[in-house]
Amino acid sequence: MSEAAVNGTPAELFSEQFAADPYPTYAWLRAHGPVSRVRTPMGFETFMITRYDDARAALADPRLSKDMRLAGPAYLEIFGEASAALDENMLNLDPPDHTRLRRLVSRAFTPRRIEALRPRVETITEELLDRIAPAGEAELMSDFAFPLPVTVICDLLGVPLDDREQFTTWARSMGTAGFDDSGNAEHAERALHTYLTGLISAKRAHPEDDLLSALIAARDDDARLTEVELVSTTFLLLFAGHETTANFLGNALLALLTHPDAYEKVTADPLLVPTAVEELLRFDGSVENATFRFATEDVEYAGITIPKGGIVTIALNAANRDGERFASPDSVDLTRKDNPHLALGHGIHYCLGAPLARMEAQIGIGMLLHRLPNLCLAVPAGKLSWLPAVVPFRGLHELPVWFTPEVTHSRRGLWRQKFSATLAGPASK
Amino acid sequence: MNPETTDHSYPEFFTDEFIADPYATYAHLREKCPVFHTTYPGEPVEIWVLSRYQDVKDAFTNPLISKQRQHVGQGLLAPNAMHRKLRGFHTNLVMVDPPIHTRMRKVITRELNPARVDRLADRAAQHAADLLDGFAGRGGADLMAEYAIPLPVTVLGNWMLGIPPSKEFDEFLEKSTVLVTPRYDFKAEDYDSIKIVMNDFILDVLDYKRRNPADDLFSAFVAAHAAGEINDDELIGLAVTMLLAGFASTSFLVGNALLALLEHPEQLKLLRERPELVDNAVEETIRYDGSMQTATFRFTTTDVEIEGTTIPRGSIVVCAFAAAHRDPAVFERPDEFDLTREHNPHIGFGMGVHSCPGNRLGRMMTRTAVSTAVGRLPDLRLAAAREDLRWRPGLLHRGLFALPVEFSTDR
Repeated sequence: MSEAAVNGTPAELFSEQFAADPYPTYAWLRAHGPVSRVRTPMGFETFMITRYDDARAALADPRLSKDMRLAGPAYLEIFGEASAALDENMLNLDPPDHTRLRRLVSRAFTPRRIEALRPRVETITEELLDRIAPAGEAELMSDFAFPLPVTVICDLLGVPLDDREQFTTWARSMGTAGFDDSGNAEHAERALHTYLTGLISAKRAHPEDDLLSALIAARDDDARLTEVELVSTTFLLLFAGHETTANFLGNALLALLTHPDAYEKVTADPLLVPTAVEELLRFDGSVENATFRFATEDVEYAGITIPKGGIVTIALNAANRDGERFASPDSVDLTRKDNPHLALGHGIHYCLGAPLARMEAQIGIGMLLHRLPNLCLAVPAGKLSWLPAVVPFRGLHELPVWFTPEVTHSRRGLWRQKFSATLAGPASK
Repeated sequence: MNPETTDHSYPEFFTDEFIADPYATYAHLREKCPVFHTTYPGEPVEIWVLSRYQDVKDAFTNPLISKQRQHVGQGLLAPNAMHRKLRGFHTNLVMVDPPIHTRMRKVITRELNPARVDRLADRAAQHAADLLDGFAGRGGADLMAEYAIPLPVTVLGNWMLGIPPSKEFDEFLEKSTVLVTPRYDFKAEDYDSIKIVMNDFILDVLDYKRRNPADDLFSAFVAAHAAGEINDDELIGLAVTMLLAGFASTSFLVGNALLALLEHPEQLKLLRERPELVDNAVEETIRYDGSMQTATFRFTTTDVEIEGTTIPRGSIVVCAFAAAHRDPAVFERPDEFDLTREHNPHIGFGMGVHSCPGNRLGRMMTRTAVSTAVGRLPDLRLAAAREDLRWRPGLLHRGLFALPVEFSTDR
């Protein structure tokens, strides 16, 4: 597939129109160029995979490496220096290093350990909603979608309360400006690196009962990871632990607000929330593309050869709308049964935080819909502004909403009372 | 001041017994507690109920009593409790004061003019007859569902306002009836969820009239908006006013009139003998068992003293027609239903700037419905025991869920 062919797409890749709605373009690519060579605005070429079967296979293909230190010079020029100090984590490594680093943190993310966090996640969500509910209007990205997962992951890692606002600012500027030329991202990366180094020293001196202290012990007592890996892993957990969930919360709520039947259905039956979350992950996930891989040898997908050294983009959101795999792929069906979406990845890099992300999404969406009745967009959906398409996250800059203000009586606590235990599932029992 | 709470023979406010028959309670209030302070059981909305004729009448023209909720400090009706999407919805004629009110009302009085109403009278009578013909051969019917409710849908909805018949319009009217006859335990979100659906329907209809203008009120409102006479919120407000004010109130009045006649066979007989008394029948029903139990909420802009009681600033004042219209200080034998009553200064359409601009249309529809039914259904009688009739909840209206009747099929 030649680069020129991509120009026939409904909306040019990486254009503003594409950022607002990439799905017609993905549909075109699945049909006409399932493996398309595209040039990113950052200046390097990548092979974009858009069909479900190909995407799923590629995610688990050991010939596609995640260790980008070995990738071509074009890639290294762009990403090499600025983030190297934060990049030596499992997301950018192959086995056996990947296996070693993942094992160190995976114990903190077992379904049972995550279930134990449920009451805390509910309390965090409830307190955020306490602030929002009386107003009758909110900007849900900064009032809710970001603070919820940031607070949870900071709790888990042991980031002090006072540092969280500053941390969120750095993380958001890396997430949103990380792929432009403004230099904000680089500045944020440096600042964050300095901060994490300082935090690790502090925890080293005064260990607490948190994940970061446990990681430090793993390094200091057993030398199971290097200092760079320690900093990089902390960074990964903090960053991946909220940017994805935050943007997903925004996308999911928007999808409900623009699909009134679905909104009605899930507000009428809050126990639908778990399958609703899976469907919303499929319908408009926040990790639009899997992180880059590169071919360690020539590999063939959909009859196209990706040459050794080729950088591969797996378009998760394109795969999740593949009509060959999903019935009515462009509709929101909150009770969809056959839904093996790839929003959380697949294979050895499958999202480590999936149980936590799911729990946050279920509690966040369920409680918010319950607490903010008659939720609706405060601006037409077409006026919402999306992160630029070059950012590998799909998410909204802002999600302004209106709802019935909580003035005369409070729905606080009702959701927990009625639904918490049922949603907690077998892992908690 | 509160009424005695023990040892009395009248139902408490907000009980099922009160819904079924509120008149004993109102009589008690009028006598013992003319300014009654009470609270809704669902939303904690505090209201001050006026029950004496003169107090109600005075309140309608009292410059210290407003229709705008901006004067309410807290609670369901406070401005900060309003769903932002419903700003236009709440700019309806019964929720604004001059000068906004003046501007909006001017459009309504111009368009809902006597000539326009009178032009529809013959068609309305024909339509009433057609509705009756639909079930005349059956020997029985629910006069609410099959007659009193559909009549204004056609006359006011389709013809006067210009809203084409549709499933959505029927659903809209069902929702709006629930909104104006809410269960006492309705909460803010229950009201809003209905209003938002209605609001969306209204936006669609206005859009439709913009593209398909005709000789009707909604087209005229859209034109007035296009001409800059009213703003966006006021256009929606006018549409809401027409849609909320005319349907339930008319249907309930028709039902209450027919029920009063059925319960007073000598009055029904009199009407059959002297059909020209139908106007009296309408006016007497408005007084005796009108469809407006109370007026829409009013708000004190400052402390207001009535009957020695100080109603604090920002309070909700409820003028109870159902009480005032049975006030023996004004009406002789107030609890009797009498078509030949000579002195009947009822105020069922309100007074002052907020008096009902649709009263001519409402009267025309009710008169038509009553005279057509009485004239065309021989041996008309109730098909249920009086105590089995179910009344709609809420304080605003008084109306039946259903009015089952029987009649002879031979003419």
